[in-house]
Amino acid sequence: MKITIMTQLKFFDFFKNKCKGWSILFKVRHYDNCYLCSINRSKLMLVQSNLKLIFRAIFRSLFFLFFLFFLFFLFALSSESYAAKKVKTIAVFFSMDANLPAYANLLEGIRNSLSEETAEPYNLLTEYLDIGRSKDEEHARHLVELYNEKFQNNKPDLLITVGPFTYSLLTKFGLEALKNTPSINLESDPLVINTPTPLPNPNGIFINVKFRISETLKHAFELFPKYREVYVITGNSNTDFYFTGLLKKNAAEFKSTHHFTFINGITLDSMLLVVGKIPSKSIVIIPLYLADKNNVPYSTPEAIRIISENCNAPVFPIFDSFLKTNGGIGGFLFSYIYVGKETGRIAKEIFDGKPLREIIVHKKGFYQYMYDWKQLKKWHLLDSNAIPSESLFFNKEHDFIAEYKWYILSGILFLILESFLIVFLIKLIIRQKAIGKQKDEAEELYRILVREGRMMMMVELTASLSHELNQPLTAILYSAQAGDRFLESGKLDYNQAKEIFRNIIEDDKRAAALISSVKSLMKMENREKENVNLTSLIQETLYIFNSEAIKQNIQVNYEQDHIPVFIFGDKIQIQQVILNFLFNAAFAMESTDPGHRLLVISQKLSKGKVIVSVHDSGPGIDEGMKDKLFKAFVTTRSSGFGIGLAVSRSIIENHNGAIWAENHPEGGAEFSFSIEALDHA
Amino acid sequence: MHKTEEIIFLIDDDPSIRRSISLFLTAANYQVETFCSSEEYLARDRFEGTGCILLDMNLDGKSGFDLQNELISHDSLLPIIFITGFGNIPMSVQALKKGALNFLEKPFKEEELLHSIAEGLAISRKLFAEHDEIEKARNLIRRLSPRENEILKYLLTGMLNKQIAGELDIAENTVKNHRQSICEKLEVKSIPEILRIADKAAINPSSVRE
Repeated sequence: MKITIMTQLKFFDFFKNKCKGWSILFKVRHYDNCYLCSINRSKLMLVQSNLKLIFRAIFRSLFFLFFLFFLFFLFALSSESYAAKKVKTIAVFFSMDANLPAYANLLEGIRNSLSEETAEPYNLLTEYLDIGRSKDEEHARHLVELYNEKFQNNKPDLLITVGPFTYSLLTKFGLEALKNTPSINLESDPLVINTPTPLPNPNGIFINVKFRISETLKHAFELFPKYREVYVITGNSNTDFYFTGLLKKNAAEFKSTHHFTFINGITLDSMLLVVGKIPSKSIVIIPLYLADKNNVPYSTPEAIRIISENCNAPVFPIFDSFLKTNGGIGGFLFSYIYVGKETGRIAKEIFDGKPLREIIVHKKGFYQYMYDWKQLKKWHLLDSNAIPSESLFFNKEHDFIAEYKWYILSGILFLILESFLIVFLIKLIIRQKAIGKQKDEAEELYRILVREGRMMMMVELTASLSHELNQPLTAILYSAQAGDRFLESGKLDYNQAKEIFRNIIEDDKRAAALISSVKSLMKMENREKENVNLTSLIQETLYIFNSEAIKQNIQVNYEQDHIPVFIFGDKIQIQQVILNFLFNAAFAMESTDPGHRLLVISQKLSKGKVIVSVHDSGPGIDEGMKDKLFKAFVTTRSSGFGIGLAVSRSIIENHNGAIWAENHPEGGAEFSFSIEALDHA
Repeated sequence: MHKTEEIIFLIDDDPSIRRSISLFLTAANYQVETFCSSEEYLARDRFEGTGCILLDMNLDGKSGFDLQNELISHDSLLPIIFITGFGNIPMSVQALKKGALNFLEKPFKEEELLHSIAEGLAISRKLFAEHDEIEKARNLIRRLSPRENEILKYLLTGMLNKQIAGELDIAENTVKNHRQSICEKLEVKSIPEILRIADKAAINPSSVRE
């Protein structure tokens, strides 16, 4: 047995460790404590075996769940491997190095489009020609050779070239993959940038990207219509120069209205010093900042952030890739994300087998109104009329109330409802308490009333008792005094003494009997009540009375209209009342002719109450006695103290019943009591 | 010590009380008669002697009060001592107003009872003596003839013989003779003595005036 318990305990420990934080832990601890505290071994075993069953059930269900998961997992794996056969490879060639945020945005856009629900799985390979750093054609040739090597056995399903120069370089040095693989070629506007005109590509789609820098500038000027000074800040790399040139070309358009200053060719530190001195009522444009004078490479977003932090004037980027940097304000920007999305969409159409000639490039979204919300706020532009309503906002401060209006509203509603519920519940509790209190008070009052009633009866009884006791006490006193006097005078003879002593004894007995009869009245409280079969109780009582009935030649009839009837009460006490009625009736018939002594005891149900009556064929109740009948020490007899009916009244009142006496229309007295009958249905 | 005709009447419905108190009073050298109810006492022959009544207040049938009232109307000379086991102030006041001698609550003390009885008997004797003298005077007055009665009434008003003679239109000597006869019959020798007896017999002189 000990071993079993130990095993079970280990089992618990195992579960305790396994199920930490799980609700079962509580139970385990609970039972564990049970075990530790338990003295009763059999009880313990019962708990143990119960626990064993519980754990077995849990274990089984857990096992079943694991099994289900396993099956599901297998199924998922198999479907995955099935799909893997169809994965397409897309190779993306970028002209610059991988650090350009523009590329990241572009790729993000491509991925967004490709991974839309219906898209097939794909592998996205990226290659960076990095021509911005090295214009050496040999470098490009080696790269292409490398690519050819790379893709020899693993031919991509689609090529995407991102210019400038990318497509032309790859074509020039003969990228094998380009010859029979479909491609999408993103090229800068050849008119704007000095790039070689791309060779026609029968397998590809050219997307000519035209930077609309003048529009970007124009919008920036609209935002700050009073600012006339424009500073264009760029880095020192080739690409930087390329964009500086681009800006210079476009600046010419605004010569008449704005004064342009181009700042480049210095280190970032110097740049920051310069920037700090730019008047606040100027416009700063930063198209790109890839490297400074010392060819220290910088991430443009970081550069823009640092510059704008040190700058008192508003800073504008020209691409969306530099927007989310806590620097530029934004404006009418070229969106690499949208370009990427469009590329991805076209790639999907190509994969779907749509003929290249039928594919249409949507360039409309390439430029978008995009802003850094925080910057707008900083420059008090949030309400500017220049900002179109369909603009995109980044870094938007979360206006919780507007954004989560419905969540908040429903939350508040929920809280209100809950508060109402709580208030309601509290009120309910308070009311229940109040009702409970009232009930207690009422009960207390009832108890007091009952007690008072009994007290009144006791007072009455005590007064009666003292009067009744005075009689034998006086008698005893004077008997003794008489004896004393006779003794004094020497006249006491034997017979006289005997008489005196007998008198004293008799009177003393009478006093004692009185006291004991009153005791029975006093003891009435605190008796246990139970369900009593009144019918059989009357029957039993009649057996007790039978000998008296025979002795006195009384004929007893028992009439009931319903059997059996149950009441809730003290069996002995109720019997006492019935017996009292019976003996009173017997006494009342002492003067009746022995042939006509009839006693009828009846039991009737009426309105949920049972009425028990005893009718005798005696002379009936004297009118003058009627009111006093149920008071203590009222009697018409030579014997007895007149306490029987008082006791009966007390008993019946203690049972919330009624007791009364009347003269029967057919002669004789009828004593009755009524008590609530229990529902016997 | 006591005259034999002195009787204590004990009226109580409780046999124990009757028994014990009568025995006690017997031991105290009183003659006792007991009754269990008012009716039983009233059924007894009228007692012409000294004594007193020990009367229970709560009796079956006629109560102690009822009996007291009845005895008053019968000109009973016996003082009443109430004994009760259940007395209260209003009851005692009522009883005493009606001339009860005392109101004893059970269990009363021996001295109380004996003292009350002694007092009652003293009163009874006095009443009885007074009653006796009145009876005697009345008996003497009854001896007088109607004429003598008439003259006695005039004498009571303080008239002289001459005046009486004038009033009755008879001779003064005749009045003198009648007066002499009255004195003989009333067994007295002087006018003041005649007046005293007449007073006791409650002869009203005013009736003569008209």
